Amino acid sequence: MLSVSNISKSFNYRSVLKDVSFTLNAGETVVIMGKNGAGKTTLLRIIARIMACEKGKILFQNQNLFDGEPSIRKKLLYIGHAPAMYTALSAIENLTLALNLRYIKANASKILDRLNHFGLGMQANDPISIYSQGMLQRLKLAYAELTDWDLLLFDEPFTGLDQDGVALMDKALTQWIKEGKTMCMVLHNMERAKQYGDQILYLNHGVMESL
Amino acid sequence: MFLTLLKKELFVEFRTREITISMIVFGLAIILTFAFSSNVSPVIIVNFAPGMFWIMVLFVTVIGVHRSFAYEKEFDAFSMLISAPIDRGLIFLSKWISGFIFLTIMEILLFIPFYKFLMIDFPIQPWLALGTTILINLAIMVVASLVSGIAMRARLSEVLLPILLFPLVSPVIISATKISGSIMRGEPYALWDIWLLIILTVIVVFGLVGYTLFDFITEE
Repeated sequence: MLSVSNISKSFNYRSVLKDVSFTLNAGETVVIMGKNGAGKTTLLRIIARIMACEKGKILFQNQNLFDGEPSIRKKLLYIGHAPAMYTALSAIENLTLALNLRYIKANASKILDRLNHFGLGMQANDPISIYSQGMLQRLKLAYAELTDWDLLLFDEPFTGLDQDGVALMDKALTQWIKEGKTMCMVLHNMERAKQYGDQILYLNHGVMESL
Repeated sequence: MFLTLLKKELFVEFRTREITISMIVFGLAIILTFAFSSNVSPVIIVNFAPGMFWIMVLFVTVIGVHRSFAYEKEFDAFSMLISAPIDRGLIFLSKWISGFIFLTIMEILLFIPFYKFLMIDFPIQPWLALGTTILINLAIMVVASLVSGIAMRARLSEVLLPILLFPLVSPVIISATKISGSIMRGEPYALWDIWLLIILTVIVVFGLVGYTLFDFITEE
């Protein structure tokens, strides 16, 4: 499904990722751990092609992500720290736009149903600029549920969630694992990493180590 | 997909009105400054008016394109666009065309105050003035959208944008001034066709460069 080979990246001459390599088979979940600033988010953003790297190659479904057509990324979904949505638009408008950009026919009732499921039904038409961190995290979850992905890159999914939000996130992740979905997640909690991960990788000063 | 992206640009602006309002207010401030500081006869000011107009347009363009890319940074919204399975050149095209629309709206609204406050006669050939203005707006915006795309990832993007933009767009502003001056004086096309050719060249060259390179420019 995903093959990451010798990815290197530096910021201001400081090496953040040094020849990072790993492979992820279909139906597996890999959890990436590491200290703050270890390069976990950078790695996910490089795979999502939001960030460029100096060296390396990434194959997704046997196609080179760096050279190929944009349509290769159709089944690759990145959900980062930030919501990656427009503050002036409502949750429904943002999700409609995000789905349209992925060539998915946006169905308003389906979107509203997912927003209701994640407890955002009442605020579905409010601009997301007034959402709390936890609400934005729920919105990302709704986005992931509405999108037809084969590989999900999820950066710190539990950040900012309250007790109910954590339960919702746990339910969604468990369900996706049951369905045989492939995920690459950044987590800080070892218990959760063991719970969800088939592989646990540790980024230590830019070097990938297997735990 | 281009229409989806263009619709997004227009819809976000319709919601916030941040770009058009800031462009119009800034443009009005420049017009008033010109009007009160240039205490010369209407005969003399006609010679300076085209230059003043396009300088004003350049300044408000900086405000507009900066804002257009600044809201992409809020909540990291740009990641939604560039991680999507779409041709990134289309993002550039949508930024260019939406910027052109905002600039044209701004010019339509500022046209009357500019002529009234500076006490200038309307152009002799208004349709020709309109046609060339549309081309000039396209040229200004294609350069501004490309430069703004380059500058947006920089820490001091608001400083970098005018530093990069002004030298690159100066051939367009000079050509625009020459074209508008010639039209106001009713000169034949043969006397100013070279300036129009420069405008068309900028549209084609920067349009192609922007469309092709936006894929690389947008990556962090």
